[in-house]
Amino acid sequence: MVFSSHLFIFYFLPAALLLYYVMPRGIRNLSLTATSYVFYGWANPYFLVLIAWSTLVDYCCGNLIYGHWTLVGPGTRGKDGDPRASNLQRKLFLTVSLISNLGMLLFFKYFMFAQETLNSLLVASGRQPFGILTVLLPVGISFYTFESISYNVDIYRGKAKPAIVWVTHLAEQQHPGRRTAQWFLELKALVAFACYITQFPHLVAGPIIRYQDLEWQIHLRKETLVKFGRGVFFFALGFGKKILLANPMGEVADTAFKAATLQWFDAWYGLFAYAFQIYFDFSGYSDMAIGLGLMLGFEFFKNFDSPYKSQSITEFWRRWHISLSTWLRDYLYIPLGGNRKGSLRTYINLLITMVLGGFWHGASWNFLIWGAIHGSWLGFERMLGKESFYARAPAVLRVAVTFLIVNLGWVFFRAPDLTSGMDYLASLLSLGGAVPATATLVRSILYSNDHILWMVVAAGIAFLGVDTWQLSKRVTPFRAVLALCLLIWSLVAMSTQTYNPFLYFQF
Amino acid sequence: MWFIAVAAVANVVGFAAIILAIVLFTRGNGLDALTATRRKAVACTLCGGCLLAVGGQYMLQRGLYEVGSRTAAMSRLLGTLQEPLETIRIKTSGPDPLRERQDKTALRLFFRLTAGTEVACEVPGNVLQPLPEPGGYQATWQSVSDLASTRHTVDEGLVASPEQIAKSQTAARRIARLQDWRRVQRIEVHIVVYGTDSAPMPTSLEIALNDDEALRVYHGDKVNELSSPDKSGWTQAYYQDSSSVGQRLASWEDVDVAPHRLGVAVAGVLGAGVLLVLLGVGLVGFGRPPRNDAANRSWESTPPPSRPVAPPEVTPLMRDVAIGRPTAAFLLGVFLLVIAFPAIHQVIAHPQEELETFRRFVTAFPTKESCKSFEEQLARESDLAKTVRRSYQAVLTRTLHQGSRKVVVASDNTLFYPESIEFVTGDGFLSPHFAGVKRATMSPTDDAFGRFLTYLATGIAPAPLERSTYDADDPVAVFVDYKEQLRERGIHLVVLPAPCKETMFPEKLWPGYPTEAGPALNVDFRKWKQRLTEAGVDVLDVTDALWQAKSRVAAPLWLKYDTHWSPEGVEIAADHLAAHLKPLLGHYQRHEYTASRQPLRFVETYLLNMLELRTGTEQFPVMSHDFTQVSQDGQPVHAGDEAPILLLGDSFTEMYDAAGGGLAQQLMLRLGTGVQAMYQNVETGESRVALSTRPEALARKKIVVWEFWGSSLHATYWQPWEQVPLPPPITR
Repeated sequence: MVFSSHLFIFYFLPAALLLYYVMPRGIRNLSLTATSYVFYGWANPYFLVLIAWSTLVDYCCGNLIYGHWTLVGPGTRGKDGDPRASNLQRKLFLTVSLISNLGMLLFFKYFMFAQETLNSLLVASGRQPFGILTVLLPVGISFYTFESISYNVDIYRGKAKPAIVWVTHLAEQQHPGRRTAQWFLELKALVAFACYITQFPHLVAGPIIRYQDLEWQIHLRKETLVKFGRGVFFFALGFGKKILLANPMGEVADTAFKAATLQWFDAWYGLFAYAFQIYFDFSGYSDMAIGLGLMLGFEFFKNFDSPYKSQSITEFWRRWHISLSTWLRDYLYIPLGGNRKGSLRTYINLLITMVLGGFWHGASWNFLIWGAIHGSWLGFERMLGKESFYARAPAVLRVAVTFLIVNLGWVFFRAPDLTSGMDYLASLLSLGGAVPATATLVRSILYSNDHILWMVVAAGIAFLGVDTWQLSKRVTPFRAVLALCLLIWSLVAMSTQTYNPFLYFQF
Repeated sequence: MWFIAVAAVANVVGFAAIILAIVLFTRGNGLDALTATRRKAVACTLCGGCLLAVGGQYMLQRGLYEVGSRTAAMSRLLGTLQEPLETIRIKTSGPDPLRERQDKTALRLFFRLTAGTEVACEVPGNVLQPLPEPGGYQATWQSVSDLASTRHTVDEGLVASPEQIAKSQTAARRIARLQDWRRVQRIEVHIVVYGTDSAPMPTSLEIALNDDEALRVYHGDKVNELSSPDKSGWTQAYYQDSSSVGQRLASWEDVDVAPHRLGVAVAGVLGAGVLLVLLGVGLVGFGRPPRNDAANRSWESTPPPSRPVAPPEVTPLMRDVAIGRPTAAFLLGVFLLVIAFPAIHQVIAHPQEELETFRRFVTAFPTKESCKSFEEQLARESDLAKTVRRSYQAVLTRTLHQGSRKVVVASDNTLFYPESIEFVTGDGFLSPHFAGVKRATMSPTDDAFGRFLTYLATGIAPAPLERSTYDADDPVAVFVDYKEQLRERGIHLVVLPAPCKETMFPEKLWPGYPTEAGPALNVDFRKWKQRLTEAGVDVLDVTDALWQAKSRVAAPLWLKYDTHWSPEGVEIAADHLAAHLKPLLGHYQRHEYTASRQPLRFVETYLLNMLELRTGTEQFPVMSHDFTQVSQDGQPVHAGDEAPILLLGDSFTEMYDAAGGGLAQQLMLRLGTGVQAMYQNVETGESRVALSTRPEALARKKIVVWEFWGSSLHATYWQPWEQVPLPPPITR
């Protein structure tokens, strides 16, 4: 289900909020989990089996890694009195969890890519290719598998404790001296973990939240009027970004990227449109996710921090999709050795991290190239002491050059395949040869009045605007009215638009 | 639905119980170390878990088997639906006047199509062929459609003008395949026996298509019987089917699976499983040692003594937030009102329809398709959304000239179709890259995971994937093949790609277009023409002729708010086509047709409809064009199977055809001979599919003109360019 859809806004959300708030506090997690399953299963009910399986496996693995359950070898106790599983058990079940999560991710996301690559090799060597088995990509699988991995890796590293620990602790604290059946506690812990994995505000496109950051909220969050009001404010702004900015920019970008050839300025215009589309699409989604979380009492973390205002690529990655970049840093870059093994290894580690990060977005050579562009640039800036080579230029120029580099990366991110990406690059650099007269006709869509208007507004907000996070800190009655007007306007505009899912749903 | 839910719960609980039993067992370091109570707990939990898991697995597999079987049946059905509609079979129960007084009895069939067209026909008893089974008869669909007229009454007989009869027959003929039967909304059946006022009538009557019991579309019971007032004229029985045709069609999708013979046993197994697990869990509690018994703590889960993670005082999100409670309450109140109002309004305004929509969705097993269709239906039928959409679009179009993803509004309010803009600006449609994109966009996606689950449930290895029909997509081979097929019958094929508006009026679309560059065509269009010509296919491209006529003719050649050509455009195309066809016809007998100019107002137009706007506004005034009506004996002329030329086409052929001013009629006027039009206002291959069921339509033809919208060469959303066989030749 898509946040910016008639069904979600007018049917699912009112029903989910009603169900959530009429439930006693003790079973709100269960209510939220149940509604989240409906939300997730809407795309394809079969996928519920996957997410349920993933939840169950990771819950059990977490308990086994921690030592709450003992299956292999005798358990011991740590210095703090916490149970500790045998090393064999810890390693065994961490491996099980990784295999389960990465296995799912590899199969559903990369199996077709592997088949196609193999086939192209077979064809190149003059052999018969295999028949391609089409595998549908379950929505949000990249996000929830990363969350599950972080849960078990953090338990393994001792940075987090499994869900059962909090549940048991709370039961003792809330009802001292009363014995609660263990199965009931286990069930409650499983629901808490399922609630973390599946809660619909951040299920299908992030932000990627770590269990320990959300754990106390799962049990002790408070739903307040102020939170709900701010949630509405966040949601309205995010929804406006998606409907009023990202979708029109998407029309421009789609037209430009579908054209066979373009004049160089049309190509740049189309590319900038895509840059704004992906930013407002994802940032809008993240705002809506934060807003929905607040309505349910959750407090998520910042995922975007005006990334196009960055003055270097290093800064860009501190501001763009923050939850992914920190995840990659903590679970990939640092385990690879980070910057602890010398300069050369640091550059290589950065490159590997970004290439895999690119590949995480989708099974295509284009994403690998996109990751490689960013990885190399990060390495280059690391070589210059985490500064860009244009660090001494005026701030406006630094922002402009960074935006330009980011845009070159977006060419490969957006193009459907490598050939199209290279062709588009050629159009940008005016290397595509003679441009036919028909290429001018795309301008009827590119430069329509509304598209020019929204392009200007999008650029203004991206480069000069205040981000939603700051804007919503102080919600005056005037701002509240403006936000609600924006929401209503966006809802009206939504009714004239066709089905338009978020870009990050496909990743 | 509930079946799967119970199965899933039984599975989860069963496996959880087994895991619990294993955990209890391993923590005790073997049976010897367990207390007697705990041993019983382990045994009960394990047995109960196994029973639940086995029962649950059976139920799950059974449920998934049914889903799988239904899916397989649907696939078979979809295959069956592609078959031509050849016969209808009638089966009566009770007295049978058709057998006893065949020459005096007639069957009156009345169909209402979804488009509102009505088709009625009176099939005389002697047209119905008796079948060996009692009360069984069969008639070819051809004979039924030939007899089609408009609605009749017993008293007045057939009441229809020749024009209405032709329209009715055309509608009947369009139901050429079983798939097309879905256009039928309602059926009525009467039996009339002439010459008597007291004939015994059948008590019920069934209709099945192509003699296939599974395709039974009608089952009516006799509800009424009438006879003529003068007691000598006729007796008529009325039959009524309580279910709609739609319900009947829906029942095609049902598949019979073996009944649950093990239902009671499975319920018993599950019940016993639940009891045992409850008993086991209870015993775990009883057998648990005191909490302070440190010696035994090694086998039980141990809560840690410390608080795991201290919640922060305040998160970054809520730090320094300044929102007054009244403001928050205002936001909350308005937000809830905004999101809840449309659904509440819809339920209050249309309680029955909404309830029915929900009932239908909830009672069926949810699938990706059913969820999507339900979602689309809610959005489509929302009153508020409809109202708001129209008003907002009107404002946008008026103030900003903003169209939508489906329509581009030019500065002079001419409307264009973005898909055609893609045709002229996009990749060459012959390029392998485009073929790959089209295949990826349109190939039916296979859900390997779903198939795997079905495999798990049924134990039957999944059938190999069907080769995508998009692999056969070839916009050159399809014409060459058709030409060859026709050549073998001695018929000449002329291919006529109708230009799209964006090709003809690029300067209106974007004023900066250099008109000296000529019409805007896809980069591969001329290459495509050349390849066809090299392969011996006769291609008549009227693009250049129309382009030149554009500056010459005062009247617009295309409709301003539509994708189609205007009457003037049709006539210019007809001039060139007629000049091309004349030498190919050789000697033939000329007929005289009369031409007259008639006015035509365009109140509904395709592109404006897509914007959900109406004509008659200041921005979009109603357009009117004069067209040349071609008639014979005072009636607009429509040639039949005897005509020497067949015009196979799409909506470009259909334009003005009903009023006698279409491309076929213009050709008839210019050539002085019959041109039979056969068109489908749908996808590219449809007119050929329709022809494939009409052998007689090809029997006397010398030339077939295949007209199609040029833009469809590039469309990724249409059917692939697949080869379609000709109808079998008629043997005389």
